[in-house]
Amino acid sequence: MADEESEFEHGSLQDKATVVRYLNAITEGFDNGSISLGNRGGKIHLKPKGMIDLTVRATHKRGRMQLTLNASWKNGDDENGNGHGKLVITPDDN
Amino acid sequence: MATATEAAADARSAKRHTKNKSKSKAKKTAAPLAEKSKNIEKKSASDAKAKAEKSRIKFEGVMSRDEAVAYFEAIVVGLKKGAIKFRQGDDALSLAPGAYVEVSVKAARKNAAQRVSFDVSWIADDVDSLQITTE
Repeated sequence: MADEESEFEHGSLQDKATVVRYLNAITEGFDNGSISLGNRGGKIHLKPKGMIDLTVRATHKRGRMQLTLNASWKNGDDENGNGHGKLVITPDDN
Repeated sequence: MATATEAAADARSAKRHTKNKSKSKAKKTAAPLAEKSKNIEKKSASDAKAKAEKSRIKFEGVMSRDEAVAYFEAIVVGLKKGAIKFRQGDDALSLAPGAYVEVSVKAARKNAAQRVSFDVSWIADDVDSLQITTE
C-alpha cells in the first residue's frame, strides 16, 4: 500500500469565544465522523472511526496554565479496536 | 474523569461536608478542647487541600467516539464558564482560562493512522503584573 501522509499545524493567539468555537467544531467533527482543518498554509481531512486513544493533560506551573487534548485512531479499525477485522474463535469438534 | 459540571458539584458538596463536620465536633467537646480540635481540623483540611490540588493531571484512555465527544463537551462548557475542574481519583486541578489564549492545533494522517491535538495555554490571573511608572 502506498504511503499517504499529510500534516497540518496552526498556532495563534485567540479570544476565549474563538477557542470555544474551534473546540466545538472538533467535537462536532468527532460526533459526525468527519473533521476538516485548514488555514492559508493548507488543509487536512480526518475521519475519526472506531476506538479513540485520548490523552487529556492539564497543568498549572509557574503562573502558566495549559490544557492539551490528543486524540488518535486507526481508520482500519472495527468497533472492537483492531485493524484485522473481527476475531472469530470456535471450538474444534474433532 | 468527571465532567466539568459534575466536578464543580462534587467540590461544592465536599465543602459543605467539611463545614458540617467542623460544626458538630465543636458542639460535642468542651471549650478549650474544642478550640484545639478546630485548629487540628483546620490544619488537616489545608494539608488535604494542598495534597489534593495538583499542578498536573494526566489522563489517557481508549474509548468510543461518543465518550471522547463527552469529554470535549465538558471542556467546552468549562471554557465558556471560565472554570474547568479536573478530578482523577483524589487529585484535582482547577484551570481558569484567561480572556486570550494561545492555541495550537496539529493534525496528521499517515496511512490508516490519524491524530489531532488541541492545545491551549495562557497566563494565570494570579501572576503579579509588571508595573512601569515614570518619576
